[in-house]
Amino acid sequence: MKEEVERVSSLASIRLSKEEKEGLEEDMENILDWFSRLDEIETEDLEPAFHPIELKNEMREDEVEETLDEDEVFQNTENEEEGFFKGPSIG
Amino acid sequence: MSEEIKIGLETHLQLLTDSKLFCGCPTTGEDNPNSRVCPTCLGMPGARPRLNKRAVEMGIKVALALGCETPEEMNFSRKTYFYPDMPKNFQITQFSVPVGKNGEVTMELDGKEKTVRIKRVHIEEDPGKTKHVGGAVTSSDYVLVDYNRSGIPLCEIVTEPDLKSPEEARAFLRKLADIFEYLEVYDSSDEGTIRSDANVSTGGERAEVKNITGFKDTEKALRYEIRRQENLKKRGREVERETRAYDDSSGTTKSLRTKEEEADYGYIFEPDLTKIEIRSDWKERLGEEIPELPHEKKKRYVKEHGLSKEMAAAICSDFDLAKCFEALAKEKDTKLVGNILSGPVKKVLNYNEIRFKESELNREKLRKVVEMVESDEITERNAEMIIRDIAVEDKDPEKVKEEKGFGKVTGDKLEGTVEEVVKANKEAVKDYKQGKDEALNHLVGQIMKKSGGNADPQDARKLLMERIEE
Ligand SMILES: [Zn+2]
Repeated sequence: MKEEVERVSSLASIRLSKEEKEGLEEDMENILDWFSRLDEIETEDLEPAFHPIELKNEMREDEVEETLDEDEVFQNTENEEEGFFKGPSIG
Repeated sequence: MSEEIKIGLETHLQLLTDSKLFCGCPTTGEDNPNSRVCPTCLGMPGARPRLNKRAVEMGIKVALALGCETPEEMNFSRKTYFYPDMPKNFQITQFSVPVGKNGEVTMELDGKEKTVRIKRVHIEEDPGKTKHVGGAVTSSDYVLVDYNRSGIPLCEIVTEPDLKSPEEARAFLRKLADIFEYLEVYDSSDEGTIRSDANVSTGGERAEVKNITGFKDTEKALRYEIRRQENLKKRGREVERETRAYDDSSGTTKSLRTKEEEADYGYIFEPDLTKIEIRSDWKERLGEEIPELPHEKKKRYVKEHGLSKEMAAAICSDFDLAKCFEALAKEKDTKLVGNILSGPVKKVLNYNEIRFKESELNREKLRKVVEMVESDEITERNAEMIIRDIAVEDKDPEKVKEEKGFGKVTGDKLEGTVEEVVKANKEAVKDYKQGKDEALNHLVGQIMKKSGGNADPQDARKLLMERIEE
């Protein structure tokens, strides 16, 4: 599980402390264990479910709609610079 | 170059819709950063995608035009990765059931036909655009993101590794762009909207080169990468399987440290979109909308209009030029129209690196040029000079003709010139009469010079011979 936690954190670009890693190892173990119960269900003759309701071909026409104003665009963030969003650099 | 070169391309072309793939934000217009965004393309919690029908139809048309199988039902998937250009931390793309599979593209290179197998065609959204601040990609302090491109509809074409050289790869991209242009799903005037990742192997492991924009850079990037791999082999070293990025400023490829495998993307079905059933009547209707494609048009021009293969190819590689040819060929001498459009017009477009629709040329202006040649007002050479002028500036061809003092010398005027030349070159005339054929060329040259290049050399030769034989 230790390797798994490291792999997932590096894919998600999240740096974790040693303590956090240990805590997450336990959590992930529990989560995977819980989900592994699904394996016990017999699904041999079942069609894979894609949606709870059978909907098909939901599409919209190619029409231009309203966009957000500048203050709306940035209302949830402090990380704005010259009209851009500021984000972390990922090497 | 080695025999074992294998190149496969994954090419993205922007589909020419008015609105984005999953929201109503416009695809063009204001250029200020983050001016064409909404909760959906900003990945705000709770915002849901709504699929653009036209983008889907364009994707189906592309798949059909490339001879692909289309599924009865397709869906979209989430490709998860964590990078600031993707605000919701996944890209909506097609994975297990794309819009097209197993097609092919046939192209011509140096007179030889070549078929490239198409593995798959799929529709996906473009991420946003990042700008690195305070350093290069890997060393910058932070990034600035503009989400105007986030959600722009793209069509990705994945080939089998059938390409054997950088030139073939470039020719393939050109052909692909031509087909998209014929389908009217793509704006070819912006080379920046064709982006490729390339898989390259020269016998050993393959390297993936990401991030190549346009036709020319594809050729350059591949050339560099092939040389790099061959140099490694010469030094007895192995080519490593890795992902590299093309850097257009230095023309080189650099290793990227990330080594994400397909499995790391954790693809799942996109639950916020429904399945798309491609019913046969829908598919048929879209199939009927597919126009005659470049290679079909080329064949027809040779058969129906008697153009040479080269002339037909030159005209068909630009959709709007082909449209102009067809209109003018109906009214005027087809051969002459073909000559002018495949010759001087194509030359000036290539020289300026523009497409017909970006030039100042149009059907009306070229009709005038053709008419002037047809009525003997100007020579074909004059026509070329005029086209050079009117291609880049909005000018009237007749005015340019006057400005340049063009006007074909014919009739009495030409006879007068012939007379003058004969009188002034008695020696040459005598030589010719005694059987020295090259003396005639000298005399024709004198006539051309005296008429300021405005005589037709064939006419001049004929008149001259008549005059001497008298
Ligand atoms: Zn939007």
